[in-house]
Amino acid sequence: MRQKRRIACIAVDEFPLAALYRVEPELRGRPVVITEGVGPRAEVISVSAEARRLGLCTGLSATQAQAVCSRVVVRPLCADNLLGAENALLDLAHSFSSCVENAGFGVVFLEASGSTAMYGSEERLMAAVSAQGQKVGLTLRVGVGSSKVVARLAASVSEALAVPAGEEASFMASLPIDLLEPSHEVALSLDRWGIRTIGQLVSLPADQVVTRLGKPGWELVRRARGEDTALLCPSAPAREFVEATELEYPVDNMEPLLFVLRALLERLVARVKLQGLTAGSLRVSLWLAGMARGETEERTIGVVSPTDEVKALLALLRVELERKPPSAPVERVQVTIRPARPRPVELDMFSPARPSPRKLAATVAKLVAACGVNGVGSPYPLDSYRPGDFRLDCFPPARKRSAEGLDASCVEELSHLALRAIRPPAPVEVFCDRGWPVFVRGRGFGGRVVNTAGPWRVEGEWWREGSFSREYFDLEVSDGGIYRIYRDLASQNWFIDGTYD
Amino acid sequence: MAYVELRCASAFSFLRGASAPEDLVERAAALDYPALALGDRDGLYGAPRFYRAAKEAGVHPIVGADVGLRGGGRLYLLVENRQGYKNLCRLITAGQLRSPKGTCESLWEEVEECSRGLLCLVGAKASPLSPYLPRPGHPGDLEGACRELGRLASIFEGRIYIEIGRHFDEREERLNRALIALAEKTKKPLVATNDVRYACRADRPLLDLLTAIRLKTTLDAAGRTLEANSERYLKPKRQMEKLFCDLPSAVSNSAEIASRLSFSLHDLDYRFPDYPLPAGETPDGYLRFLTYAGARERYGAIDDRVRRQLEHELGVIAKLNLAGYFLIVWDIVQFCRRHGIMAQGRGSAANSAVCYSLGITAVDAVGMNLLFERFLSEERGEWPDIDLDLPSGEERERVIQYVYHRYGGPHGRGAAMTANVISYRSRSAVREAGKALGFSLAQVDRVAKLLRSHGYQDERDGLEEQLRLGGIDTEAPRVKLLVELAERMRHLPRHLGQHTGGMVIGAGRLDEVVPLEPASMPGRVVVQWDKDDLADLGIIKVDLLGLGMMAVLQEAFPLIKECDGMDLDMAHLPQDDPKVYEMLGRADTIGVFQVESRAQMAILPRMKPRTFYDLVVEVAIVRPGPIVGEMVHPYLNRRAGRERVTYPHPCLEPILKRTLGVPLFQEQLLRMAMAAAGFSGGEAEELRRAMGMKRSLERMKQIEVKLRAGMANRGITGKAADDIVKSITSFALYGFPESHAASFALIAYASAYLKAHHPQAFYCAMLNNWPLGFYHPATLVKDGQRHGVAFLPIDVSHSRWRCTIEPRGQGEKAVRIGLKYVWGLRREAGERIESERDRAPFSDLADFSRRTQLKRNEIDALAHLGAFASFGLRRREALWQVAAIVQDPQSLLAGVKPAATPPATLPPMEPIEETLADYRESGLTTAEHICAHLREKLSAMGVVKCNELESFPNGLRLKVAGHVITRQRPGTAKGFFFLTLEDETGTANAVVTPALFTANRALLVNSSLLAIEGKLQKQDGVIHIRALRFHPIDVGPFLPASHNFC
Repeated sequence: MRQKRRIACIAVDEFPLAALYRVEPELRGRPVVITEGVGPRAEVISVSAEARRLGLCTGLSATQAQAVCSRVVVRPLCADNLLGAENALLDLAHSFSSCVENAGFGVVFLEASGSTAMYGSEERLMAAVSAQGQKVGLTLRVGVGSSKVVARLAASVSEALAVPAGEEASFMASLPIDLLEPSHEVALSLDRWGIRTIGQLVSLPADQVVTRLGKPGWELVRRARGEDTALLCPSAPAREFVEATELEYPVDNMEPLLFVLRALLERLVARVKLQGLTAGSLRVSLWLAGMARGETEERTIGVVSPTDEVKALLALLRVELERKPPSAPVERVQVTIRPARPRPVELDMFSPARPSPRKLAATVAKLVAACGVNGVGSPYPLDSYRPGDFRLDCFPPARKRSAEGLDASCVEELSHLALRAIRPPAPVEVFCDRGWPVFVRGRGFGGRVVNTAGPWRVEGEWWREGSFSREYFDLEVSDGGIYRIYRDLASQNWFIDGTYD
Repeated sequence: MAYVELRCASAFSFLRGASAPEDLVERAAALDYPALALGDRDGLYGAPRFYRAAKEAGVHPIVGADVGLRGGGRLYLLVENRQGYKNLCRLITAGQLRSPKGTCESLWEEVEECSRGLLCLVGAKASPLSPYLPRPGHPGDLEGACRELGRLASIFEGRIYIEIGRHFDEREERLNRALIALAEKTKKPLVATNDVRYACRADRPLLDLLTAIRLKTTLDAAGRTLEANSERYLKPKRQMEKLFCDLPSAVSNSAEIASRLSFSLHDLDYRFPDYPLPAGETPDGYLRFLTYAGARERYGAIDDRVRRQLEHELGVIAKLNLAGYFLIVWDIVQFCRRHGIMAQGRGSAANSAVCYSLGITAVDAVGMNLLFERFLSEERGEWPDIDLDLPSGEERERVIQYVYHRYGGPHGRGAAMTANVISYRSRSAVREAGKALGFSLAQVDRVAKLLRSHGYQDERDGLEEQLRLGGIDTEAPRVKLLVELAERMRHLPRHLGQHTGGMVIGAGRLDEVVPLEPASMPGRVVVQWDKDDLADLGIIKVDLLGLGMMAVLQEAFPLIKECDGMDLDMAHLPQDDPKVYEMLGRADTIGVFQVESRAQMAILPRMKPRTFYDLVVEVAIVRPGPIVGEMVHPYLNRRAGRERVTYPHPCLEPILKRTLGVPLFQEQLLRMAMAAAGFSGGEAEELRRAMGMKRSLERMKQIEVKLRAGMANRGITGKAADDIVKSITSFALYGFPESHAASFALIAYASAYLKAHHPQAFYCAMLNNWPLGFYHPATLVKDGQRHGVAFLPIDVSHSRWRCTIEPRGQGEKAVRIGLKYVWGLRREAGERIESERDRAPFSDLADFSRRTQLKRNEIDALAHLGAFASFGLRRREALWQVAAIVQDPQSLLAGVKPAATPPATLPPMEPIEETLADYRESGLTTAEHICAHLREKLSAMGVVKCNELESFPNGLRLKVAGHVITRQRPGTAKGFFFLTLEDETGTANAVVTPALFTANRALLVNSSLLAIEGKLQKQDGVIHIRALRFHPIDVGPFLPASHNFC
């Protein structure tokens, strides 16, 4: 006799919120809402139970939500979180069955007949699924039925429910029609007709319903009758495991970045372990401030000895990043693990122990660090009045630049008398008469001021801690040299900025 | 050697200057400048304020502008004489009207044509010479610069100067060298300027911030678009002399130029247009004729008192040569009459018997003993201010177009709308400053939302304090900066808007008096000055204001004639009708103009108006001025005899007697200032202006000092002085003049009269002219039903686009709700239904669908509403049929009629579902109130009906429930929250303490249907529930939203 088809549905309630909890588990138990959209018009699309108790609901704007409850945590919808959670869910399903369909937004279906045989009963299978869900940070609902629709409905109404074959109609009759997710137009028509349950829809003459609601109506009626013979559309198990996160603000320090990387690795390793695999190689993609859209800085790190230890993997990342720190603050980071099957290692009894590649990379990175990471790269002038203001691009330059790309005023500065800049500017002694320098003395030069040009004042960035206010003079000194000196107006100290060639 | 600053840009250069004109003048006066020039970008926006401040400070104000040219470049022009001023106005106008809003592109031909009387400074920055001066990678073209300068010199013969500035900028110095060489070569004089953008060095951050806002960037990203240093402030003369010690003539030339520029704004040569008189008539004679003709109509026989008043007023009008003005306003009113448009003067014009006689106002100034001098006096010598209330919408636009065409002159430049200078307020300042400082949009929005934008704000209630209370860390450096800069931005002009209805007309060319520019609204032109500036410079404006209630009255009177056969109009309504006052006394005022708010309803039963003057007081008393001045309760207590009538000082008795010793009107405060502090008429007028102005707080402070000094001279000190000062200064927050209150009271009386005697016409017109007033149409319908008006639901066989009154048989009539209330139904679709039905009645739903070709969502909404009831179809039957109708005329099934009978399993619609469907599809219901459906459940909860509250004793704890129709948290109420509930029997008001509001905020703000448990409070016939607990009742999302003032 042919075995009856059994489908399991694994669903995650409030999927955006669940995806957030997976990344920030400390938010569980707090009032949280997820918003979609930009700025003040961002709309609440997912609400935690705690927030719902405080009167929050979907459809509010972020500002309204905060007005209703000032302590609510508002998080924007994060595509990285969603993708990570969706992939984790798929990985989980693949650990139970080879035939898995991704229905999207926190719902997967899987062929349950074989798995049930392995676990002994559908109840045990559902319990095992829920337990694995905890390992990847997701709270799951599981339903089993003779079709996808029935399994989905079972997962909707209970945390774990198996609908026995033949009892589908009675199970579905009292359920709200909304659970069948009709299109907006169909739902509106049904609501106006007063059709609120699946049973009510089934009781209407199907041909008349189809006359009025067309093909979508027909499909809905079939679903309402449990007539779903659609096969699963299996998805392939992952070849790579990816987790990414967008940072709340650009991070330019190593420690916070490593903190983020650790969390990513923990989630990745949990997923890798579900499949009984280990990390074969790591790839870190960094989205940096100022980079063009679609551009990333990539680092690939081979894992000589495949491992599933988060600590070891993190150490590799640290060494790589310290060797060559990101050239600008990191705005988004993605870690990809290419899995490998764990191999037993047999040690060589006679060869001398070679340095581990991991340790070598760490040593090189330390050397770079000793030379000063800020000393490596190519300088690029900034659009600022702050004299000599520049940024360091990584070397070799991340972006191609040409003279055309430079600001016109920079060209102008280059085209005049060349100033040999002294960095850092050295303190000098200046004697003034009614505010004008008349004698200047510094290391390796000095004399009476013969000619003066200036002062030129630059004052700016008053809104920052490092605001500046300087008064520049060009001096021809009796020693024959021409110098540019400045007075720092805040400290009233004098410095030599450069000499004219 | 002396120096005069000839180039200043104020904040009226809109984000290109950081100081108000007054601040620049103040600094100039402090630096002992004899004169100062203001030349804002593309306009004279700041000139009137600059002129006024300069006059007060004893600094000669030089008028100028920085005018944009088509093809790039700008010309900095200073006015030499009146001709030059006219030319500058015309040049700016031409450039503005040609260009997109916010830009000005004058043509060289226009510059040539308008150059007389103007002096031109041409320098390095954005001038016609700029392309020829050295720049990065280019050594400059001295010959080219000479040619360009020659061209300018031929236009401004003997009136062109080469301008140089020194801001300690190396690159600028290179340009200066080129300009000096140019001056030597062409023998043109040099002049030094500092291109001032702010008054003091400390204002530089503000300019940087405004620059970032203008460029829509952040300070961090603005880079070198900001200024390199802080040198563009108004510098001491000696410092400028020192800076240009190598070019002493450049400094002395500035003083020489200033001495040449004698023009002042005090004489703009503005003239009001002449009214086209009949042959042989003089303006005064014709006005007298019209006045007496009108007076005979208004008063019947003209008694001595009226004649004396008319003669007095006509005498003043003649002396001030204002007859033409009155004739033109009369002409506008006549136009309205001819075209059936209601018009009524408001404001101080209602103090005039001449205006009453001419039909401009509807308040009998003689009968009400109003003070004519408040409107017009010889002493003040300024133009009167007549505001006309017109029905809002198309009718008002017709009047505006009439004035344009009749008085716009041959060039069409004789009339324009008044501008409204939009200034930064707390919220907008925080928003824009926050963005420029790099806060995220969400952060800025959150911070801005914390700031109250309405209601009274205490002086101590500063920005920092409000943010701190909102949980923002005001010690954080950027937040500190935000607070500081946003405070400084407040009151700086942001952009120019259009005044709601102020029109300026002038004889000849108005664009020679003030520059004109295009308004955002197509076809409209605005002057560059706001109403205060116009008044300061003696330019007359007529306010043509749209009033929703006027539109209601306009529609209601013909309806009454049609339905009740009574020919009523505003001027001939029965006076002091007892039914009206009885209705007002019990606060039955939903829909009544000006007295329908919760606060008014709370006062009415205490006030119990019995005469028209009581209504005038009622209109004026619920204003922030009297409320904050704590004048409401003393007045009510004295009126009720609970308190003795006293006066702050005996000298005030004649002034305050009429209002029981409590000042309630602006006029009383002016008289008080004159009587108690010896203010002259001019000073009193200054006080009035300060009370009516946006910038009043600062000015009121100055006036307070004067008041106290004046009172001290007369021996009024201590509490009496404090009381008088408090009365007067609190009016700065907003109070009504008596005449204005009287004009509004007339409309309030008229609307109350209609509600009391012709409710069908009243509610029909209200529904047709909504939105107006406080209440949603759903509430208006329920109120109408409680007043015995029958409302018929929307029906495709009967409803027109607008609501109508139709017979119901046995002589009864009912208001039929119009198709305009079907949400989502397009106007053209509604009108197609009307026209098709007029052609032939619809036979059935299929016929209707075929002939009207409505969209599916429109026909669905009609079916859901029960609008096909006349076809014998219940709602679900109609919906079932509608769904089967094939709309495609090409389809083979197009002619097939769908089965009329729905399947038995289709559930019928419950009555509550029908009501909710009504709300969902039209926002109102003519069927039972939602609470009537829920009454059984509510009774089980122990909820009483709203109309039963009166029967319960004071202090009883009870529950009341209803649809929340208003929510209010006024700034004057110390955090208390008010809401109004409506059930099937009426309304109930609840008061929520600040603590309870905070604890239940979500519930109170979001619930549409609410049960409130609380203590009954009854005082002087006013009933409130002092809320203690709340229970939300869920009926879905379709109940109409409340009117919120939170």
